[in-house]
Amino acid sequence: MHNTLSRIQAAFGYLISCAFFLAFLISALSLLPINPSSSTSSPQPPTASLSVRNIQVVRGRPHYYSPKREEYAHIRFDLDADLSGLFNWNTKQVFVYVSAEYPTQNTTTGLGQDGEAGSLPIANSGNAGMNKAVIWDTIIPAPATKWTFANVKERYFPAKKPAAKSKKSMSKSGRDKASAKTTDITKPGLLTLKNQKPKYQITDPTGVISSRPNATLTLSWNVQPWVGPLLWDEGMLEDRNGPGSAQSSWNLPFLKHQWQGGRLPRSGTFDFPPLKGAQKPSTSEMVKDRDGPKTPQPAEVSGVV
Amino acid sequence: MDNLISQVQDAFEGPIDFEGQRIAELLCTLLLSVTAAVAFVVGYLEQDIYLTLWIGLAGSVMTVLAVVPPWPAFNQHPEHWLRSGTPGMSKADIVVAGKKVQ
Repeated sequence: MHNTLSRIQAAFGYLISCAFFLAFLISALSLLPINPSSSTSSPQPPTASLSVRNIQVVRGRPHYYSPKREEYAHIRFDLDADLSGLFNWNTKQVFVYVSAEYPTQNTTTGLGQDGEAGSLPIANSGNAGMNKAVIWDTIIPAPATKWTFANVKERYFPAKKPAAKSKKSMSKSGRDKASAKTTDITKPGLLTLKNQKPKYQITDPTGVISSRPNATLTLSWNVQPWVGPLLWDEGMLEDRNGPGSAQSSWNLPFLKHQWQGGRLPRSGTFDFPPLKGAQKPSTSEMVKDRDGPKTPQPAEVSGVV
Repeated sequence: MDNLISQVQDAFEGPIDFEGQRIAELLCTLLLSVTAAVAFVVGYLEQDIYLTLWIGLAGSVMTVLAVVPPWPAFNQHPEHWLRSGTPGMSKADIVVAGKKVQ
């Protein structure tokens, strides 16, 4: 501390220590299900209901110049989710995704038309031969607070508009919009989707996805905090390959939902319809085909976390 | 010329005396700790991590400003060094731990 340089060094050294301790404290605390904000005394676990609306299987190519022809499933779905319990002061954004899961068809030919699974074990069937493909996702950013960069800049260093035409109204409206956006504290993480189009069409490694049975839709999420580990919906102690692992016998109600996750909200089971407008078998078959997309029962609500 | 150079050197080095070093060390530790604690508590109560960030940054800047420059408060107890070869000062005047050193 005898001269300026050593004082700078000492101050920054201790500053780094303090900053890291602070970061550790914040990340440790955000793993505990405590939320002191007055509106919600404790974060309620996320709830969601998910159902399939309409499925179409069409033929297509992976890209324009590909000679490969594959079948692609468009799955429209309804989603009603309340993920507001996932947001606290240490939440940067929440990534939500809907994925379709369907069992692997154990056929070597990849014909995919025979309904029952063969006895051939598939080498890559790590998870009991389930395929999982994401059909839709979104990022829910945490709501802006009074002290974000933009709001602080707006408050203390308002942008000086050039003295030009209609400057007053311009800046006024701009600031009004900004303040309205920030004071309007809506509950984040409420998702209501009706007949939502999928972002991604899915196909199978075999290229055949029509008439595959026993598919489900699953809602998953992960929470990306400002400081600390990424939190998955399965929880930190849960094996990502599903319940029934050694660690899932841990039962800590205190750490529920941050650590252990919960049952994933799933849709009811559905079957992929036959290929749309493909071979023309018989008239009755065609009628069935046209009805096909509507056959999955739409209101199979299940899976409350 | 030598005098000027030593002045410039002093301005860059910013030396402080021993008591000043003790105070500066204490001030640095205390200010940064208090800043971190306040930043955490306020941010947690307001549920706003940006507040933690701003308070932490403000406190850090404050600490650097308080500690780094050689403020006069850090130079209130200058050490009276013996000059080498001072005439008129015998060895008998040197006192170490209450005893005169021969």
